[in-house]
Amino acid sequence: MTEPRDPQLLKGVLPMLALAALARAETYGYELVATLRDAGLDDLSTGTLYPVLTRLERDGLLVSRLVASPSGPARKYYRPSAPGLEALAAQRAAWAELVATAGRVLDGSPPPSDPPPTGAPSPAGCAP
Amino acid sequence: MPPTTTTAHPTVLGRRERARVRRWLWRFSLAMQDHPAREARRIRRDLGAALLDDAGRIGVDAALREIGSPWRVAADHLDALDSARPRWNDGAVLATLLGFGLPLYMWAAWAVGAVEAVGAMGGGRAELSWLGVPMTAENSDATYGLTFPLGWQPFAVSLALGALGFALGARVWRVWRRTPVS
Repeated sequence: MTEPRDPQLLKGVLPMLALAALARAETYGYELVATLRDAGLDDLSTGTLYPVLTRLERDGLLVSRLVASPSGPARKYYRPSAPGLEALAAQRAAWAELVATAGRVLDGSPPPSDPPPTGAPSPAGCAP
Repeated sequence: MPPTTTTAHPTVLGRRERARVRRWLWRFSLAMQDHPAREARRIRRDLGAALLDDAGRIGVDAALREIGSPWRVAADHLDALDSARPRWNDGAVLATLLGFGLPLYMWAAWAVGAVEAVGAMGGGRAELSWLGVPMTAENSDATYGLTFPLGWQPFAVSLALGALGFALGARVWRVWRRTPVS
């Protein structure tokens, strides 16, 4: 049996995951919760996701539109804006880098060799 | 392309179910008092629509269980603000305590002391003044107390002390807000 997931881990990546899912298909809050649950975030609740959607929309990373719902009030459908897609690309790159770094630390692998800083004397320059 | 929905059998909510959703939203509004008002109203409206929609699809019990405590959802929204916001409720409580509670306590202490002093001098009546309000302290076998007309001075003092408390509280809050949280 797997250990329950640390909520803080989810909280950090949830905006990126919401943007990624919405980039694939425009949808509304509850359907997005269902999509993310189907993807493996079993413990995700509407109470966790709705504030994230509100914040992303407030920051201009999501745009929304209202669509009439058969069950009552109009539903709000979200999709990423152009800045939202840019932010997603940047977050995706940062995430890949973080995963690589975390993997190296967890496995005890040496970090990738950095190029020598500019201006530093090269071994050849020290030779007489 | 029009969006597709997963709604299979939406149900129309009864009055009782709607009341439960409204109660949740009311508690949420209480918890959001320190959020900028216009945005808080928009968030409440969106949440209300989403909750009613969810409740119509999965039932009110499940919808409310899913969304969880209104205090926690409000806390998530407050955490997401870029900067600390004025705590108007705390400011109002502080101003009330300083503007009304403190003068009331001071006046009560003064009044008891005045009446006791009259008694210590052998009893009788004494014409006094507190913050410009004429008062009569009496301590005799028949009467123990203070009589006074209701003047504007105590209200002016209360108002000034309240404003002072609010200004001091605001100043302290501004200083505290700039303190980095590690």
